[in-house]
Amino acid sequence: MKWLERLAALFGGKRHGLLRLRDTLSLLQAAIAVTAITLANSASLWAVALTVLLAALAMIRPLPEASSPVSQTLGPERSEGVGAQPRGVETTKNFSQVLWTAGIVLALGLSAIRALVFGGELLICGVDFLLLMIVQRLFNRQRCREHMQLLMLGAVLMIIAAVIDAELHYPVLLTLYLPAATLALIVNHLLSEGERLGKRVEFEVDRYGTRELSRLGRASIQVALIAAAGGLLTFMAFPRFGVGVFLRGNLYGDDTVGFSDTVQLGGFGTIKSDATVIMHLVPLDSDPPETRLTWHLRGSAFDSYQDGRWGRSHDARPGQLSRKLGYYLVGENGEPPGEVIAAPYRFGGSSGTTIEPRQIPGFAGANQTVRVLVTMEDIGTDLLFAAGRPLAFSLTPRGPIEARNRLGIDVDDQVRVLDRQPGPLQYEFVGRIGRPDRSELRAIGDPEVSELYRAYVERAQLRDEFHDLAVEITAGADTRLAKVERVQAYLLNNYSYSLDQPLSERVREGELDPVEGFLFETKAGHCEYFASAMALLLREVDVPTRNVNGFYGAHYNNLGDFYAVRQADAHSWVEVYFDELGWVTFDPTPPAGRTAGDDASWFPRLANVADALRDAYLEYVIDYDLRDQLEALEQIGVERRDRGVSIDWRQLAPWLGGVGGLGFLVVMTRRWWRRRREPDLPEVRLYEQLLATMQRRERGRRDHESARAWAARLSDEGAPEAAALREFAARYENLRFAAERPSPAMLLELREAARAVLDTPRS
Amino acid sequence: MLTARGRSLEITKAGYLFIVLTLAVGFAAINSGANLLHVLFGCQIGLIIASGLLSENMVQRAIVHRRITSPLHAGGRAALAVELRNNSARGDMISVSVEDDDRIETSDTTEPVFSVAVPGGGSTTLHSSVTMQRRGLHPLPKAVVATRFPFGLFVKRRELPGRERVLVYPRIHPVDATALEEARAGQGEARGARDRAGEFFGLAEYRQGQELRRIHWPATARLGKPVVREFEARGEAERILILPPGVAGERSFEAAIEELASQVVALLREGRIATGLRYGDELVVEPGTGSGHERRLLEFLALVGLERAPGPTPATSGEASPGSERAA
Repeated sequence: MKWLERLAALFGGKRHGLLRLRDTLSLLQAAIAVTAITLANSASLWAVALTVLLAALAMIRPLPEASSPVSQTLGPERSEGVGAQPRGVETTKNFSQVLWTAGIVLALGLSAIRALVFGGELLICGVDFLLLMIVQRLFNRQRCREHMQLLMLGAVLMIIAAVIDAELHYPVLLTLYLPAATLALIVNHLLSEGERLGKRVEFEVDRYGTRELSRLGRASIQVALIAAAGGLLTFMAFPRFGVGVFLRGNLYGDDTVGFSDTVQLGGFGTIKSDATVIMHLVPLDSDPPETRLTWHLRGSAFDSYQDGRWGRSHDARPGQLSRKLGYYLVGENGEPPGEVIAAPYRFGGSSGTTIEPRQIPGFAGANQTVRVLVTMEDIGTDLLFAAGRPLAFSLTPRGPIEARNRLGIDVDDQVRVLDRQPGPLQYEFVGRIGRPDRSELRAIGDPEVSELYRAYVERAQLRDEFHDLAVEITAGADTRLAKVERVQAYLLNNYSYSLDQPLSERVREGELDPVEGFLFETKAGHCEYFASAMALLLREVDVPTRNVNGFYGAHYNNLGDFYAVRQADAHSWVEVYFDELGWVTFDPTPPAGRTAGDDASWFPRLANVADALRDAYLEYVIDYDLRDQLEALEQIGVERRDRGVSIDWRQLAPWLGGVGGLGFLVVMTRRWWRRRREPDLPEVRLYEQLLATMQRRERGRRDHESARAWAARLSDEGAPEAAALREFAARYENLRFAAERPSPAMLLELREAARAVLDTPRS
Repeated sequence: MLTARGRSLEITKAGYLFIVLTLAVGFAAINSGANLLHVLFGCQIGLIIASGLLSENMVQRAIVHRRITSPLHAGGRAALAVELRNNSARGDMISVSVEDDDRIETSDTTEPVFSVAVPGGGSTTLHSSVTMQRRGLHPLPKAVVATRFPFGLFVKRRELPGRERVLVYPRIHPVDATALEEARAGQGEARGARDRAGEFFGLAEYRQGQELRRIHWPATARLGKPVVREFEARGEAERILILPPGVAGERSFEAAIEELASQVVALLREGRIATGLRYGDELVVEPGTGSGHERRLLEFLALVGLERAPGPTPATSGEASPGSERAA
């Protein structure tokens, strides 16, 4: 435990002995708890920074002398006597306590005002207040009571973090927290015994406590292991019969740009290098895995553009949503998207096709669908994402409370969760990923745009030069497809992809629209500029378009067998309306700009392992529920039948045998370890057996005694075994400390001597 | 407090707080179904179980021997040595205290002792004090082995299986110095060989009239003032104290015993006057000097008038007297 003492010397301030160790451990457990709550995004960063600074100050400043509990209890006349503190010190301390109390009351009031008046998150306000309490206790940590309160505050923060944080770092922090808090509790307990039993014991505890650190450390590890076993057992076996909250991922997530009601051009550029995984996709229709999916995961759509900002107009097309067999079906021109032939995954856990898509005349690939289970972090939007054209959704409720959660549909087929609660979401979508081929699209020709779709050809308020460019690009194009392909080719051939968001001087000064700046001056940009330019250019030649934001593609994680979508996969593209064939996706961004997510991780292999670990943690720890418990029981042969339980002993017996064998193995390993640590000498073994037996007879050896001295003392005390023990002691010492190893005959004699001691009749 | 088979379990204030926190986490876990809360709830239950198991181990392992190591007078304090032995060959014994059983109302008290850790098979001797109020042969105050290990959430106590009996000498008080002077009055200092009779007792400052041959020259040279050697037998100074017969508990009898015991101590320790004791008509203790003689006198006075007649000393009857030891 030398490292612990060194740590205590480093962090324990100017105190000494066990007091210093207690200070260090209290600080350590509080630091772990504060880290946990910070990583759970449940504390204000300024509050955390302030706590760290003040905690450092509290540790380096000399502590005022603690008032004796005796003087506190005996009243004023006692405190006037010998050992009482000078009146000035007492007054200063009282003033300091009053100041602290006033500060805490003020902070409590401010937290309440912050939460109730200024609309601050109640939990974060509460946690910030707890951080202040930690600082207050650190500044006044003279006695055990304050340390106990520090430990309780740490425990409360860890509990809050457990509710909020479903990430993999929580168990890591918990593993560190348990032994630290346990040792802190033990040390604090020893010092509290000193406080309780008086100055003499207090002095002895502080003086001798540090000598026993290795024993205290062993005890704390024992306790932590028992606590961990308790936690594991409860986790595995305690039935989840409560209301149940599905918490797959952090309750408080980070907002992602691009999915709000209006989107300013340029936002995506800031996240194209962010490797954070925000979606896990698991295909449910058993397609063989590809290393890189090339789906466009559609989220938000916009029909109106003005001054570098996309938004939604009143004339955008409303969507239709209907419910059937647990699915929400997204209507296509007033018709259902297909026939539901099986229940969603959340009901039966089945894979395969569940929706037979509607056939669309002139669209051969309309029956190509994909069915995917999505786990999405809270990225600050209530939109659901789906590949291709979304046909159906089914939301997995986070327990019975959310079973009533409903989905709603916005304009432009944007599906949203109504009254979305903070936290991650799990849902299933069925999307049509097949797209019409060129001949099918060409067959549409260049029809008049219906009055219903006038919003999608609404031209942006740009200069004539922009219109002229559109006309020039599409000159001679006789079909809608030809116009689209011309514009797409023009952008791909003449513009380069860049995440630097170069803005021309005139755009910065407001003379030019950002899209014009991109087209005529910088000629470089990221996906939003390409998509916006294409959509707006096509509108100049009466092609109905809308701008769509979402994610492009997903990366296969072979360790976890899922596809990961990263922040860096955020993407923008264009949908063009082709009458009977519906909206068709076109992507004008050069291929290099679509695959930013591939290079977002610095260490892709490591990122894969981390993602897989996290996914496994979420699946097997966070999502572990009553169904999993029942399945586990069934696997070992215990099954629920009606109101009773049936046990298949043939199935259960191997498990019981395995557990028994494991226990036996643990015991044997422990024995082996103990023997390995000590020299396995037969004479020492004999001596130890004799010591243990004599100890039980209450005639044991004292610490300072040699075998001979022990025998001599017993002889003085008149113990009947004394004579035999003297004989044994002489043989043992000759044998044990001889230059050569004893012969078997000598050992036999020693064994006989030991037996003689033990067989001596006791008076 | 839960009590059974010589053991008791009490929950401390911190323990109640911890239990409330555990129940709150358990309720939140059941209500929400959050798995990490189940883990924390299990950990807290584990800590409570560990607390129970370890504290039981600690009090089980403790073997306690108590003995007084200085004369114990009623109402006074005597040194008490508490030997704490770990009965387990391997497991440590951590945070164990030996305290009075506070469930018993008594004016006899011992100062609590506490040991941070005793290794497996080891022992430690702790020093404390004891105060008892009545003369006679009495058991030491009832004590318990207690532990709050590991967290101070629960107090577990085990009653000690036996109680060592100790002989409590009568209460004493300071004696007026004039009484001692009266004892010596007219006797004067012995001279010649009689003055130097008995064992060497110590050194004292030279007083006018003393023989020069009694001066201890090395000590005189060292201290820079004349110092004489003194011997236990002080010649003809002798006093027989008389105790009228009585019964224990009678106020006048107890007061007489206290007065006599005080005089015995003063005469023998300070005055070194050969002192004897007459109980009624019988000379129960011949005059004599020295610490052994003082013990004989005090033992008689400790037991006189009690139901059990003064007889053989406790040490010879197998009961504890100052300095003797008996396993608990």
